[in-house]
Amino acid sequence: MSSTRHQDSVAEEAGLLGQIATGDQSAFEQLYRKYSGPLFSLGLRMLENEKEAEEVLQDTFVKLWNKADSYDARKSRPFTWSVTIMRRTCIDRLRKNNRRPVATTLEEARASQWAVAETVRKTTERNDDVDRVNAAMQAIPPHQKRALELALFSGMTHTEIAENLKQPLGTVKTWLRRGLFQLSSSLTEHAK
Amino acid sequence: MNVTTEELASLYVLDKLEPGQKRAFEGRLQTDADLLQLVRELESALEDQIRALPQREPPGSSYERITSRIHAREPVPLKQKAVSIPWITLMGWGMAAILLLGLGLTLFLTSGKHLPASGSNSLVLVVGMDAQSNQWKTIPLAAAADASESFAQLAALAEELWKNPGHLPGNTNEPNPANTRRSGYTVFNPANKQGFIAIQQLPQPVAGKHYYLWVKDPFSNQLECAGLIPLQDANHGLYSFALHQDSEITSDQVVFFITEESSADPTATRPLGRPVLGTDHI
Repeated sequence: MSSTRHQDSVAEEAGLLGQIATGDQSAFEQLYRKYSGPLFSLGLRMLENEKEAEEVLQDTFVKLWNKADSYDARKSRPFTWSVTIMRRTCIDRLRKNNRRPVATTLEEARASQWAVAETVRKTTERNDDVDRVNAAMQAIPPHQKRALELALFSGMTHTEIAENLKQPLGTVKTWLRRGLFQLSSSLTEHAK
Repeated sequence: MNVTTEELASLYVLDKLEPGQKRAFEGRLQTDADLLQLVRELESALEDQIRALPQREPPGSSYERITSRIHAREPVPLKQKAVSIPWITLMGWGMAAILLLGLGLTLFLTSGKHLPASGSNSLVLVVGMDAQSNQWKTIPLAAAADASESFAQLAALAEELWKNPGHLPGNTNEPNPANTRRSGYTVFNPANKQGFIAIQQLPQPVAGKHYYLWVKDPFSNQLECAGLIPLQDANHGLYSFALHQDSEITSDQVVFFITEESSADPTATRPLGRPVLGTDHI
């Protein structure tokens, strides 16, 4: 999960999207192997329902297949682009079901049934990286961390986040900026 | 880099910018290497957060299901743009569509009761529009056998509402026999992204201007042009439209509005002109 590993894979994943745009199913399968776990986990985090998370994951990959030719490497990294599609599809599902966006904390999510069910192999591989990210997140002031969690995983708009946190919109934007910059800075320091 | 730019970069990475802000910011990314580097660093931090979530693999059958859907998918049709259907013509086959539907739809509209619930029913969104607002209502329609029947059902509903405006939601609920007020409504099937828009008392656009129909998901802020409204020397009419099947607007809660634009660009991606009917928010 290190930044270096990310950088190495970004070009490869952008290349896969380019191949998918030409109808290359082998490239699509490779991208699925890389992204399906994290995206499915994101779906579980947002929807808290395994069946719905699987359906949304399928919708997301069909969109990735159809929209691969619109991916623009100058605008976003491939995984970020895919996460955006997954998050929007999750949000659509939440709205369609008239469900309120999920607003649990990361700690609650990590203590949930999904965390317990994580495979031993994956956990072993990831422990160091997860510890690093958790430590970086813990270093962020609680109110900024909460705003970031809601922005990332709840499906709320920033206006809804402001209402949820009972803060002016401008304050929430400031918290998001400061929290995100501190998270980025901490992770960069850890990676050195 | 100033705080405002940093804030924009944060909101961009979190996918929280309005569509117009997002396009402008992406324009800056093309020319500002420092800004691009900043965005990449923030993206990397967020990606780490996603990958640090408790990880679960999807069921093994998921990939096969996805590829089945991809292979089963029909060729993408060319994007349809607000095809004008002359009212008289629509009346003719619209009546046939009503007959095809049987009494169910007519009874629903006259009694205000819902059709019997069924898992195969589809929910059609009816949106009443006036100069300042959108008002929603959903109506269940019986499952259609095919795309043609679905289209006929939608047309029949649009036509029935034209004749019985008292069934429209919100501010357009009161019958308006004099037809002196600028108003309209859409019926939209989110499942196949087809719809009809009816307008009343919309003046002809000034010379060189065109009316555009826009569809927006007010929750995700996804926005799409559904086409040009060809008034053709009338101030009223009923028109069909269809979003592209790959449209990013996938919500079944959308708003509609019409703007007057100075160009006839069918690939327009955002409104620049003044709104003339409906609004872009709830």
